[in-house]
Amino acid sequence: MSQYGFYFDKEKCVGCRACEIACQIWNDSVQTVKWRNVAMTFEGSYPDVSNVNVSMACMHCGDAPCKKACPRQAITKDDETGRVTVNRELCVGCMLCLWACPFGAPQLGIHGRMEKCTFCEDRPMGIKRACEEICPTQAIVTGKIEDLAKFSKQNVSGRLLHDESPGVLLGHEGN
Amino acid sequence: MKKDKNGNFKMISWDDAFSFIAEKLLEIKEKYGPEAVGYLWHLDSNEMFSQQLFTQLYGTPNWSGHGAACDQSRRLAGLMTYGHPLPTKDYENSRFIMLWGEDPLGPNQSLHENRELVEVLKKGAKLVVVDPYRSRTAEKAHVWLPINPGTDGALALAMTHRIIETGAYDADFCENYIYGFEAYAEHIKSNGYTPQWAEPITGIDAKTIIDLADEFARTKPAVADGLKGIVNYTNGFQALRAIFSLNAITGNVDGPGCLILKEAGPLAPPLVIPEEAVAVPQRPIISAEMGYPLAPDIPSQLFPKAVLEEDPYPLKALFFHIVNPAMADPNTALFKKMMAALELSVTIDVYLSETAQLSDIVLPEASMFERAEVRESLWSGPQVIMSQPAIPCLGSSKPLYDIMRGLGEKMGYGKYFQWESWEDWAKVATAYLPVTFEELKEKGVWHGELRYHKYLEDGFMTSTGRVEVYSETLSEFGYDPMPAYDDGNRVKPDADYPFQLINGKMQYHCGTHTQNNPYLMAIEGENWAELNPLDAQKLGIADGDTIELASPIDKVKIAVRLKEGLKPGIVRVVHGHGFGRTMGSVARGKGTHVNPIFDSVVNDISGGIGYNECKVSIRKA
Amino acid sequence: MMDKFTFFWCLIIVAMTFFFIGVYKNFAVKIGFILWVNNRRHNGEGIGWRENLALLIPLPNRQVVMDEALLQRRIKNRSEFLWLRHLLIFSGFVVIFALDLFLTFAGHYAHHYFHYEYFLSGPGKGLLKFGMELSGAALFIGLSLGMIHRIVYAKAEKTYVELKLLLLLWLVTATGFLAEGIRLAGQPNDPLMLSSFIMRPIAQWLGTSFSWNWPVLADGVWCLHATFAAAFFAYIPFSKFIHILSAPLGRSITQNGEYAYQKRQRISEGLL
Repeated sequence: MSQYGFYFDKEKCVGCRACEIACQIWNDSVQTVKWRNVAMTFEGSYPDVSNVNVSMACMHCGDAPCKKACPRQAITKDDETGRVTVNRELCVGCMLCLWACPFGAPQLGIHGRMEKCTFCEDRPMGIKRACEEICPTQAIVTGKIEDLAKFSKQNVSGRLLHDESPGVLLGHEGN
Repeated sequence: MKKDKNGNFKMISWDDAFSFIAEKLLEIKEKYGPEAVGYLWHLDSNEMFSQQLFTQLYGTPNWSGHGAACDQSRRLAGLMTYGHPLPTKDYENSRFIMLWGEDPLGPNQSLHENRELVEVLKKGAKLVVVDPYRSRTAEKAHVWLPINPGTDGALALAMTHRIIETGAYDADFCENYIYGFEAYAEHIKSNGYTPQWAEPITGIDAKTIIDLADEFARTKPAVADGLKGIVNYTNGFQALRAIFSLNAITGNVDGPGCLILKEAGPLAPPLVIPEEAVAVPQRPIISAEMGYPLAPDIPSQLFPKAVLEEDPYPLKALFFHIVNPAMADPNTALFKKMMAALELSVTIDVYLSETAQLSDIVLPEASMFERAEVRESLWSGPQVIMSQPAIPCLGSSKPLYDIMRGLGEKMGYGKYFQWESWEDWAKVATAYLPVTFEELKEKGVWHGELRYHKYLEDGFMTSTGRVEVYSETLSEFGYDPMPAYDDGNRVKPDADYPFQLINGKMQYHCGTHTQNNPYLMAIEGENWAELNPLDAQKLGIADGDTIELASPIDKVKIAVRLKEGLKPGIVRVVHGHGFGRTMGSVARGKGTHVNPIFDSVVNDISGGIGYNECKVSIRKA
Repeated sequence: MMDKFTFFWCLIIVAMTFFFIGVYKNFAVKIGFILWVNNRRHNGEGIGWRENLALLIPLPNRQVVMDEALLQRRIKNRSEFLWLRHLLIFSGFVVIFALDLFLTFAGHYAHHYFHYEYFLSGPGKGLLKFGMELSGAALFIGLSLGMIHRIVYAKAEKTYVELKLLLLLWLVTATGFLAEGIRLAGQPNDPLMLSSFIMRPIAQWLGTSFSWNWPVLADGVWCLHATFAAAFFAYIPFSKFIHILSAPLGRSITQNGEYAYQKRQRISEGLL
């Protein structure tokens, strides 16, 4: 089993939100809400202002809390790629997964069922995901989690997640 | 589509449209001479066809790009200083990058540039952004200097003063490759452009300026450049000259990590026109006769005067190719008046734009996915891109070659338009490239070699063959030959209109082109004005309120957002939205069209529009 | 033969056992896990348990509860028909369930302990009966609409609606009405006949057209009804009906998705 994931570099992200659009367009037929979102935070007052843009979708956690929180066992984790997906035939749209998710990834689609990033299910593995392909500054990189780990000087997922399983990689602590 | 007597559009065949336009054009040529026709375009490589048809065959000099609304002042400053209109930046190898009012990571993205910029920042290069607005680039910058609007020239001159005073300039380069360095040094000193002088003007304290100048001179390679934030002021031309001179005296010209005098790809004109068939215009371009002899493009605000007052000579027909002056230019009312006075107005566009609505004839052009293009890229080295149609033309649209061909045939120039398919003319256009056409077609792009220090062999393309900090050409035309700081004509806020209005583009939209794209509209569905919370508090305005911006000529209502990253005393508006009945269902009625409040303020040397020179008062609406 | 009420209590015990096992396994454990996960996450930041509690349960405001749990605004935005259907089923089910509970406590228990007869055999019974028939009818119409819609648009709706669940609840409702109708057919002089506005005409028609052994038949149909009802309750936590419990809770707490935005913002603040 291998675990694929996203690596995101906040220092490279310029907040252009192209990843959101690429995600929407690629997953057009199944997506009814934005699976990928760029959260932008501003802090401070003139002239000392700081900000950060964080592009987030489902992180396909190694130990997915949403999977454990689902009362219908509608969320499954793929053995081969580690992608976490929602089975819409089982989902009842109760949003407990969102309550459990550390990243706020699952969202209620217009059909009343939860939707989330499928790691571009219909793209063969080994090529770039839609969001990675579009990113003008290459702030998003996807791949096997072991390969991604070398980009990151410090894995901050432990600080944000319930456990430090190597399933998730997030952020890049400064120089 | 043709407009009938009642002002409604009616579908007509391409043949009828070509006949009508050609007939009209020949009639105008007969009556007023070929100069009475103007052709305005945006940046589109297929423009070589219209150039060949209108300037070479028909014989009008009034064929012009959109420069005035864009980087006119920078282009002219580049020409006057380096003899090159579009110096590019080699971020990749740079160690100190200083950007004045330029936002390559925000709305002015060109992909290779912003990738190179973020990469080089990770490698440890230093980025300084001088901008009253904390742009996307300023967010990533190590130093953000919120400067008083329109005073960039003072900062550049003060830095120059410090560098000359401490002798930190590149003496070797100055001696061998700069024309008029002694005079310039004397000019800087005698005018007293010291950091202390600049402090009250720019709002940046003298110590910061001194440190910055020292670091700029010390760090090599370094690059300083400016774009929109400078050229949108009437003193922007001289400010850019000062910045380009700053690069020159520190020896940062055309080397790795410096400003690059980009080599063009060897493209040939696609139509073969024998020399004897080329028409020579009898009268010069209108801008030359209207006080802008050096302007690279015709300042678009000159057209209303030329059309309405027939000064310097009558202008009877205008073509608009993918430009939308009705939305993009200041003073929309005057533009409408001009359109009504024209004998023939033709819009060639992908959309039925606001300008198209005012035109007599609208010709639907194929979009970028349906047409072929051979063009130069913005990369620092020579690079040619050949884009090929992905799908056949939809509806009755035609690529520009077919439109020009149809027109040309009706006007009697049929024999020069002998190419049947896009491959035929693309082959001719790319004949000088060192790759075969098939190879280019497969790869879509040809990279040349990025050569540095080209001036060692070729010199500079200026009149003296050197970098001209003292420009003989400017002096010949009676302008100040050296960069000076002139604050006299700038529109400044006063008691009645206490705020400076600056404008910007939105990161998620492309000018006035994309407001009908539902994906982009879902991200930002309307435009807004930005205000510092300190100002907002004084005026009793909360985030999200609607405010009324009143300039001396007009007023508009617009939503307001509070932004900490904006210098107090400034309102920033984002333009592009506010479409009425045109454009399409998604764009309709969203946001505000802000251009009516801008007056036509122009740079008196380059003719670039001073969009940022506008004073406004704010009232909660 | 086994007494009617013995049979009923056996059923209840079995059904409730399944029900509670299911609720524990598929609901209580999940909620416990979610609380634990959220708790653990914030412990890392060194926040006290009071702040912690405030963070892990964003208190849903009244508006969100109104919109999501009672008015189901999101379903209405999607389709008016679906909203009507769901509202009929939802209100019918909730009201009949509430009235049943009320009858049990204020009727049977009050009768047993306090000899208070108003709701068991007095005029109150008529009131309850009227309400139950009304809500039962709403439930029945809603379910029938749902079944027809599901069968007609089989292809599109297959993913979202489970036919066998609908059928089960529809059978519970239908046999309930049938049981009451048959009981009334055998007792044409029942004083509460007037409150039964749906089954009265049917019962009268049955009573005059056929001469079956109504009390025995009524018992049989009643047993069928009880069996279906018990099966339904046992099935709730194992099927899509779990949304009866989880959706109002989950949707209210996540504020209809607003919570996702807050979480992402908090993460980006963490990276600032």
